[in-house]
Amino acid sequence: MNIFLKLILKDIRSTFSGGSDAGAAILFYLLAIIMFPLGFGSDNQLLAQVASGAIWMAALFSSMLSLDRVFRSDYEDGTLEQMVLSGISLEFIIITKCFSHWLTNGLPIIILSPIMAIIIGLDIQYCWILIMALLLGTPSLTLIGAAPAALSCTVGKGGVIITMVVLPLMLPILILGSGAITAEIKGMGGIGHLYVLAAIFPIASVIVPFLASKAIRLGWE
Amino acid sequence: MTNIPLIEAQEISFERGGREIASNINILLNKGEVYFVKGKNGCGKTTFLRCLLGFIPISSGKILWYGKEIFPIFNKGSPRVAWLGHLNALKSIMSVKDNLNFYADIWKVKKNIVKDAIQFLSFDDYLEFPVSWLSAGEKRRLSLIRLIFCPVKIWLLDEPSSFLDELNRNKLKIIMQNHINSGGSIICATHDSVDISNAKTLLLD
Amino acid sequence: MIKVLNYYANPGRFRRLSEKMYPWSLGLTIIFLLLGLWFALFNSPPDYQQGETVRIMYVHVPSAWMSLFIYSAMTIFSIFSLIWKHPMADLLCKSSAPIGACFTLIALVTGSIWGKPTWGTWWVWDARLTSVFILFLIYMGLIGLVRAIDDQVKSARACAILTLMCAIIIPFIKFSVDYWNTLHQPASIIRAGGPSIHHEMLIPLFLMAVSFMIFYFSFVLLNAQTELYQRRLKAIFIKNVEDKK
Repeated sequence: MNIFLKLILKDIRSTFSGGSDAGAAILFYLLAIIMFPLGFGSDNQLLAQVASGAIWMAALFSSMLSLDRVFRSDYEDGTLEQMVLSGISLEFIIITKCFSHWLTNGLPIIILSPIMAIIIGLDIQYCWILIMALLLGTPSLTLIGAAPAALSCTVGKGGVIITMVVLPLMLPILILGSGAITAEIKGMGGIGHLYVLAAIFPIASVIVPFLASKAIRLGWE
Repeated sequence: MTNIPLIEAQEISFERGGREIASNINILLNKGEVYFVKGKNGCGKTTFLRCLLGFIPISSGKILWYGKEIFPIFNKGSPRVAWLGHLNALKSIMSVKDNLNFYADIWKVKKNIVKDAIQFLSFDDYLEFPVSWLSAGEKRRLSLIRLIFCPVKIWLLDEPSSFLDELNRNKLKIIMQNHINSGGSIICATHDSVDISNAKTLLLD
Repeated sequence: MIKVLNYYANPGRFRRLSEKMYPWSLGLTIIFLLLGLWFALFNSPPDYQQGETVRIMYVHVPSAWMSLFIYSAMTIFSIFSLIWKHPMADLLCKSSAPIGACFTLIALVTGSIWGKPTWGTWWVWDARLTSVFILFLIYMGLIGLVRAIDDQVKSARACAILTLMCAIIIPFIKFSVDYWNTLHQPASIIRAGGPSIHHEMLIPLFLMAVSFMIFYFSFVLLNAQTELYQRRLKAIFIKNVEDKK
């Protein structure tokens, strides 16, 4: 547990001292949402309809933008090797990295989401379901993106190809997450969506550390 | 202490990029021994060390660490080996002090040991510098500091003297000698001829 | 079973076996394909509602089946590769991806062509169409990943890792898309499939499905053989260079 905190502290520190795109990804989230009202015009009714989708798409792209860096910098400068040789299991390192990615990307998105919801015209009474959906969905976004991000270390060139691979994987979360809000607005109750969304997380958290560690070991070979 | 060798490699072969570069290599590392792995470029010195650590699977043979078939990268708990590879494993945006403290923390090393190591390589003045301000040689020295305070018996070094000047190469020699005198063991891949007492040579070709 | 699998972990043995099987399976493919096409085009009744357009079903439905079947096969291969480290499993997984992508594309295109006269539109964001489209994207991603890694052995392993990752998400895609869609539009599309199908239509459908299956079998073997030859060629090339030294 002690090591868990230390690793997370280190990741967050290197994030905030400018070593990653975490800040840029959050900025992207804000800008992308602001783009929607500008692009659709100020028709409030139309905006309210697309609001949930807009917020979720912005969250998805923001998460994807910052994921590429999650393992890459530690992989490339040899820190991952040293940590594994220090007796910390690679799966454990992957979990801490996912957690700190969520702390620097998912959490700010959730905190900012009520403000963004108001800006884009989502009725304030639906904010709670938006926050619930993001709370359940963003950890899965991080996890699902983590395995391809680990593979990108092996690929070397990374970037574009991983984006292409990650996008279809994240679609269920996008569909369920924005679906929950839409269903709630239509009066059908979004709780069902939330249950399914919650089910993705445990499955991903079991399988992703396994696959991501395989991917990183493949890169070391 | 029993007489189990620290590292034992039996008849190992390994390949790189699908081609076999070395076969039937044996090595037996005991307490207080030094092995220099020598050979021309591309003969697989680095690959050999990475095979020992478990990063690269060997195509045949057996590698035993403390008599067991557990590679250091799968070993849980405390570190078993200090590894100085081509990569310095330093975070360029973090300060020198933070970089060292991170490893001192996870290895549970006492502060005064770290301090001694820093003093030995005369790094006191740079402690608050971010690593990105350092030169290649200084970064290498920084990883030597980490090597010194790593609480393990076995060192695996891959070209430890690269980027180092004359003065620091001598210091490196003293560091290695000290480590052996205190009962440690070293496997070192290098092109230099380092005169250390009782050194054995493993020639790869 | 395990003994047999271990026996064919050797690339040379595997290659020789696949070389023996390839001509037979290719021959069977052609026989079943010709038979199936003859039944499909000349010896089956037109649909009483859709008329002659129903004949596209005999290509469309088997390819849709194959697109899913190949992905399931790849998932099994990747499990064998990652857990039991079978060296041929990841090769088969990698070799399957382009064939799977082709079948998925055929299913999408024929579905679209079939959709125009029957539903009056080329494309609907319907649950089934969307999930097949996503499957196609996943196949393309896998192919892209394989092509991005130079080392052939490594690319096969990477492909296996990603296949397993996507396999977990596929049921969710299917499920979530169903869920999402029922909210937007009711299921308006009913196919001539299911048990209500006439048995004279079932014969060509079955024949086509079998021929596609054997086609996949023979071409995955061919792909794997080609790669094994490429790997050997590389080894021979390296050996020549070293002998000259």
